[in-house]
Amino acid sequence: MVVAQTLEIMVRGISLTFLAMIVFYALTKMITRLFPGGGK
Amino acid sequence: MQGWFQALGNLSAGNLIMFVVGGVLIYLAIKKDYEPMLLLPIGFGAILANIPMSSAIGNGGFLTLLYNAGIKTELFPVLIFIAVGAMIDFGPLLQQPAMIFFGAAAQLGIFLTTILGASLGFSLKEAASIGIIGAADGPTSIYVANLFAPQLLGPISVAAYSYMALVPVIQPPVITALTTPEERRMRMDLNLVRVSRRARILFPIMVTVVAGILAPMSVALVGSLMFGNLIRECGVLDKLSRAAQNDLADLVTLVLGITIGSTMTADRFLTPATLMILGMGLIAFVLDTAGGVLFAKLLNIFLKHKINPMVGAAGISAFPMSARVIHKLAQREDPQNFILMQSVGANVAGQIGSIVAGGVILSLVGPMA
Repeated sequence: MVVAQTLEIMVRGISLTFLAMIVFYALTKMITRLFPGGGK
Repeated sequence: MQGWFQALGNLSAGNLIMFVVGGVLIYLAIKKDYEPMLLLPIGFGAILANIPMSSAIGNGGFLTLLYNAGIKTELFPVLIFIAVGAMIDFGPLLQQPAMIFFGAAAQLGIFLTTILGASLGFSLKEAASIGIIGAADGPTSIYVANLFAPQLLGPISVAAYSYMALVPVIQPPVITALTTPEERRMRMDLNLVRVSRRARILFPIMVTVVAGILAPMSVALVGSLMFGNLIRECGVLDKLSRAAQNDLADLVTLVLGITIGSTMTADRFLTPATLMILGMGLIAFVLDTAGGVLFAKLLNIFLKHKINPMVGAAGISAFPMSARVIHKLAQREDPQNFILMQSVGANVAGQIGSIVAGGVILSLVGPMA
């Protein structure tokens, strides 16, 4: 029972952490493109 | 005189062992320079707490007052995060946004160690608190442990800060075992995008809102980290930024360490659980490092421009030590290989990743346990 719960926590936890990072990635790309710092 | 004899009479073998433990922490801080700002106060706090009839702890004791005011209320970790946020330059991450994924991959050990802890008999909340040690993030470890397993706060904090100091010892063998010399010699293109002030200002606000929506329990941690960073980046609060980076960081660190040390009384610390926590904390660190490296290797199957897999290991939160370790390892294989900027980008992502993972753990485990 406990192992099943921890497995569920692992799957949902890793998924949520990656989901957050995917959103951060998209938003970071967006703001650096919307507000460029003057070329490369 | 009577009090002196009473104290001596109450001195137990456990107290004496804790004096030695405190002494070892102070030795490591001074002689080995292992996180001295925290290990020294923790060590001394442990000694203060184990003197029989100590007026430092208990009813009216100043360490108990500090504990109730700063740890129990979660105030100290939050204040530390404001200071840390003011110190961090997210520029290397904004210049290479793809590095942000390593901040997630290198949190794998947290979740795997939670399973290990639960299967070894710890409660779900205790196991999750132990797993967070792998985040290599002291304040998050304290924050989660205090909410989920306050009775384990001492050993968890000691493990978290000790292993953070031991990153140069722990990470290289794990990385070497998981990579070939060719992979370690891999060079990476450095295409840095210039980042505007507006983007730097928007980033902390954006991260706070997104993390808050995805994991509301992380708002206190992410919010304070990003508040500190906003003070740094806004350009109009230099005085406050300097105060957060120096005065606030120093003051809170000063009381945080000694307060945590005061929780290390012999009856709470000298248990088999402490040894298990120290062992599992190490496993969490190793698994986090492995998670980052293996994720980079997985990405390389699909990427045209390959990533040096060692950069993935910098996705832990120990900043900037982990990035330096990775860069040194790369230079050991090829002195002309420079991957410091990429490693710093991943390392900064680890700061965010560890807090998000901490918030996710709080959100998921809280309702279940």
